[in-house]
Amino acid sequence: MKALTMTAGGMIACMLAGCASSPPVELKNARAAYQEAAGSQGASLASTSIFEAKKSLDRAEVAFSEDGDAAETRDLAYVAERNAVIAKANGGAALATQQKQIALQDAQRIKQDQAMAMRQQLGQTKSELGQTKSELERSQAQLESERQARMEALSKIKGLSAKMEERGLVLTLSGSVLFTTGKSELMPTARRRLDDVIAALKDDPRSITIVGHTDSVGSDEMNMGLSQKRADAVRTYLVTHGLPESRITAEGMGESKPVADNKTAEGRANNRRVEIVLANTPGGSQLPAPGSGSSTTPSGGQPGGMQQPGGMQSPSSGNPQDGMREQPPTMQTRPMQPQQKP
Amino acid sequence: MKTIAWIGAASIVLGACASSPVPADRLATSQASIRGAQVSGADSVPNAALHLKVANEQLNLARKLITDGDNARAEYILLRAEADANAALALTREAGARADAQKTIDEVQRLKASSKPEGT
Repeated sequence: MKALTMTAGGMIACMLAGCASSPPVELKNARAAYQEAAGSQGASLASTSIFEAKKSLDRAEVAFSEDGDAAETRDLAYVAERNAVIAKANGGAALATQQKQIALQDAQRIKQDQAMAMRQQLGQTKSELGQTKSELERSQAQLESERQARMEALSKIKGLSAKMEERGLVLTLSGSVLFTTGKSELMPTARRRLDDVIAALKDDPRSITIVGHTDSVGSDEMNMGLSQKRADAVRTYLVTHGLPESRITAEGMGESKPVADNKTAEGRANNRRVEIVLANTPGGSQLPAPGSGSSTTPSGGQPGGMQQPGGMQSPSSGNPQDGMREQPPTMQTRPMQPQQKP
Repeated sequence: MKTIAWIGAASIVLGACASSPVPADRLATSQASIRGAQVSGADSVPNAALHLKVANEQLNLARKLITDGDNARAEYILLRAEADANAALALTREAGARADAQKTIDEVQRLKASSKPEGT
C-alpha cells in the first residue's frame, strides 16, 4: 500500500515536472501575442490595455509555475492571449483616431490656405478691375476732351450750326454758303468751310451722312435730284480731302424735310441747306428717311433745279429778300438739266 | 489496491467539481459581451467574426458543462468565451476607426489634389 502511494505520488510529481518544463501552447501563444501587442505602433496609445494584458499573462505564468500544464493554466493563458489581441486592437484604434485627427488638421490647414489664396486672387482681381476702371475713365475723359475740342472747332466755322438730335450731331450749312443758285458745284468759300469741317472731323470715328435739302420751289423730282447732287458734291469733297470714303454716305431729301415755312423768303432760305450728320456711336449709320435716296458715291451729272443764294451764317439767318427759290424744273426725269430762274 | 487508490482520487476531484455553484454571473457577463460584439458589427469584420464564432461555441460548451454539473470547468470556458467576445468587439472597433481614418485621409488627399495648380 505504501509502495503504491509512493508510486502514484511519483507519477504525479513527474507529470508536474514535465508540465513545468514545457509550457502549454496557449501560454506560448499568449507570450507571443503580448510581445506583438507591446511592440505594436499603437502600444503607447493603449498603455492601460497593454498593462491589463500583462497582468493577464502574469496570472497565466503564475498558474503555470504553480500548477503546470493544468486546464486552468491553459484557460488563463487563452484569456491572456485574447487580452493581448484586445490591447493591440485598442492601440490600433487609438492610432487610427490619432491619424484621423492629424488628417482633419491637414484638411483645415488646406482649406485655410485655399481661402487665403482665394482672398489674394480676389484682391488681385479687384486691383486689376480698379486699374481697368481708371484706364476706362481716362479713356472716356480723353474722348470727351476730344469731343469738346471738335465741338469747339466746329463752332468756330462760319455759316455752320451744330445741334444734337436723336439721329446724332447735325451740322447744318446753309445752301447759299456752299452752292450758287441751282448748281451743285461747291463755291470756293464752301471749300474753305468744308476744310474746317474736315479738320474738325478727321479723327472722329463716327460715320457721317451728308443730307441735302431744298425749299419747295420747283418740282419734287427736280428738288430731289438737286439735293442729292449737292450732298454727293459735299461727300466727294470730304472724301478727296482726307475723310474715309467708307464712313460717309450722301442722300438727297429734296423739299420733304423743311425746317421753316416755305411761304416766306426767309423760311425758304432756311430750308435750303446741307446737313452733315455724325452718328451717335462710332461706326454707326443713319437710317435714311423713307422714300429718300442715299448713296455712298457721288451721283455726278448735271446740277438740278435753280437755287438762289440764301443766308450765309445759318439756316435761320437767311435773307428773305434774296429771292432764293427752287424753280420748277423744265424736265421731270433725272438727270435733270438745271434751269435757272431769270 | 492500486485501482482503489485512483478511484478515490478521482472521486475527490469529481466531488470538488460538483460542489461548485452554477457560474450564473459569469454566464450573464459572457452573454452580454457576445451581444455587445454582435451589436457592434463583429459579424462584418472577418477576424472579429472568427472570435465571435468561437465565443458562441464556448458559450454553448459552458451551458452543456453546467447541465452536466461541471460548473467549475464551465466557469473557465465562460472566461474564454468572454475573452473572445471582447476581442471581437475590440477588433471591430479598430476596423471602424481605421476605416474612418482612411476615409478622412482620402478626403484630405482629394483636397490636396484640388488645391494644386493645374499642370503641376
